[in-house]
Amino acid sequence: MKPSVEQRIWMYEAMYRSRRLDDAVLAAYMEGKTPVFNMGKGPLPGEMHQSFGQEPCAVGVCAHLGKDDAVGAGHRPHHVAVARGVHLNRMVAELFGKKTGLSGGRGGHMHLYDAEVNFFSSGIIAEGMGPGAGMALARKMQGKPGIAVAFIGDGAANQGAFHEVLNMVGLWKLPFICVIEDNKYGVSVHKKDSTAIDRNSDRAPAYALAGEYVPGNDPDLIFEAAGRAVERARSGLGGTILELETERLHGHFIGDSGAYRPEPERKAMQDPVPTYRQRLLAENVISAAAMTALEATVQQQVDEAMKFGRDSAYPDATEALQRLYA
Amino acid sequence: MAQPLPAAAPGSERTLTMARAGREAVFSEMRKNPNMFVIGEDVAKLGGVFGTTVGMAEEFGDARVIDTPISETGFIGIATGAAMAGMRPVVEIAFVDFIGVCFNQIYNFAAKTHYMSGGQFKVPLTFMIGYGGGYNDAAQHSQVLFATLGHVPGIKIVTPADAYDAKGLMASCLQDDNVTIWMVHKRLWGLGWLGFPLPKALATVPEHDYTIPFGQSRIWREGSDVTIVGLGLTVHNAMQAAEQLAGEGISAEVLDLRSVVPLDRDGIFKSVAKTGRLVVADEDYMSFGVTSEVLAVVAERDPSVLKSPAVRVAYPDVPVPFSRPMEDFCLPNVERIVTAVKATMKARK
Amino acid sequence: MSVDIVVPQDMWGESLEGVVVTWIYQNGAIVTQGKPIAEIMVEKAQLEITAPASGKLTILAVPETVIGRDQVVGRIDPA
Repeated sequence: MKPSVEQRIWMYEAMYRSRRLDDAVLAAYMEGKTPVFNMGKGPLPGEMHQSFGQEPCAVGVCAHLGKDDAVGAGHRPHHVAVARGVHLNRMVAELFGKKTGLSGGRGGHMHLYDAEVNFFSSGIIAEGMGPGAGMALARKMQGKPGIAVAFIGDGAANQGAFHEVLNMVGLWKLPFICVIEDNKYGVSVHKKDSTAIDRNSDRAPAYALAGEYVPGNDPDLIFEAAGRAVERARSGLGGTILELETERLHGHFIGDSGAYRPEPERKAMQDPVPTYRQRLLAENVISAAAMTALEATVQQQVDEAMKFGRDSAYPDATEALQRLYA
Repeated sequence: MAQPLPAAAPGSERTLTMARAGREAVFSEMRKNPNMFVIGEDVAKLGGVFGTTVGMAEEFGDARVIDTPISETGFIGIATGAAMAGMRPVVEIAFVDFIGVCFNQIYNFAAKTHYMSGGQFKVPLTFMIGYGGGYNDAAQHSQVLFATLGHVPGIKIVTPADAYDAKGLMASCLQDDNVTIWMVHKRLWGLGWLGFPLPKALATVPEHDYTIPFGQSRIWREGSDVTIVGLGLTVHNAMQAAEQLAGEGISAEVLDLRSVVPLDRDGIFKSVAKTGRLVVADEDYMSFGVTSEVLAVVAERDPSVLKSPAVRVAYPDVPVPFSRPMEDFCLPNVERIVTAVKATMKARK
Repeated sequence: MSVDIVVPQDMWGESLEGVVVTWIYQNGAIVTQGKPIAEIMVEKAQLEITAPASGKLTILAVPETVIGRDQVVGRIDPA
């Protein structure tokens, strides 16, 4: 099922919001870190894994999800969080480590949680899959509607948790989708040097799951394939490995030049955000004026969120000892 | 303030094994709370390798008592997510030695989610874990690992030493909204094939429900010359040692920690301040563990209460050897505790 | 008319011997039909014996006693 006009515009808007956020975060991150790059300095310290190029994966899938569903992301969560509808201001405040952040500053960039939209992210590769499948199990046990989706990278498909969890998803027919964002790299190691087979979606029959590979980093194609996986899960038929070809336009994290990648390969990468923008205009899905207005609105939201993050206060230091136990 | 507990009719008191007592608490909570379920290897058809779930699948069905594949990282992750989504899973890990294959899910995910989410997600997850050696099961099936689990923030850990405490502490774990671990020494379960139940691990257990608070130690025997701190099986060894020592005119107080996290630091210090001498008996490896933490309590608060240096009776820092004479040598047995007490009595400040 | 307590035939499997592990009630206690009263080990399985009747319990085989298939381990005298 192809996306409607509204859904296509929604997808572009979410991609653009994620992108503008990534741009703003990159600029803010580098404050205090030049001329000497010290990860612990500046208003946005720590590691930062950005989503440049992978936006289509998040929007093509999240376009099908509603309030009953649950979403787990990995160490590169921002585009998924934005597409899921995580509270933007509180998310940015969390990146700044402010007390108004989603977790009051306790989580940070890789550990984003928003209970209102059933979203969580985790910094250990593939380890968010178990909890994601557990949320699917809970819905099944409670007789409630809703499915769970876990976003992982291609490298995560070689971690033990991937295999253990998918076996149980297949065994118990859990309403769960494993979305693999295949940017072909696990930090510096190309997929062909880490994975015994070409396509991780080909592993699906080993777990009695459906598997589908979507080339092209194209939101519309991803939307269609995700629709099939979501329908399968909602109808009780079980899980899917949804493998999406995408591009990691930058390094693994800010500070990684990605020099291990061959120059021609890097030059050949296409940016899906302007590509989709052009397509929507060319196909008259949206007028140029409406597009400009949409982008201006999104920019305002991002600016507001960044300001909220900067202007908010830090938590009291002794807050570190609170909230350990419920 | 709690109501006075109803007394059993005379002669009809029940003496239960620890396995049965722990099960009673689980049965009771499972009946009250439809969101609770049990998950783990061999919990449904077999009733648990150590009898922790006997009869549960029959009563609650296989949708609530779930046999898993051998996939600890997978099913503990699944249990964590289910807990985050409103369920109350009870996870069985038969041998504590297996935490290695799923430690990330326990310490990086389950234990930290409440904190990292700023309280948005609770993880009401209870683990039932067996530990301990002394029956020749060797290095990968005999460990204790209180220190390994106790070291990471976000978990509560209890280890009952008799059936009464087993039921009460299990109920507390099941009712708590955090990650809780209920650990029982394998030789205290009450299973014939692990050596006959020690008389004192069996206990009178009331039929009604009750809880025992976390972080509350228990004095099994009052004394005035020395405090012997123990937990799990070492409590029983300490009691036997105390009997023997009494015959030699030494009055030993036996303090059962019951709770590793939170630790009853006040209870420890109060007893040691009273007796002035300290022996800590723990079957976990000596270094960086429970024995160290107990000594730290005294050293930090007021080391001058000690009339002599404290003595630790713990497992040496070696893997558990298989061969009987070697394994027996390493265990914190009665003889080693008696020797340790006498050392504290002899040494003068 | 007292009722014998034996380990039910279907619990024995191929085994000829078992061991009494523990009694839940004391000698002379009043027990209720259907409630667990003892645990017997057959091979490696620890089995639960429930009271075949209500009444006063007399224990014949104490813990650690090795018992045969049809051995009477105790009696209940209905109240």
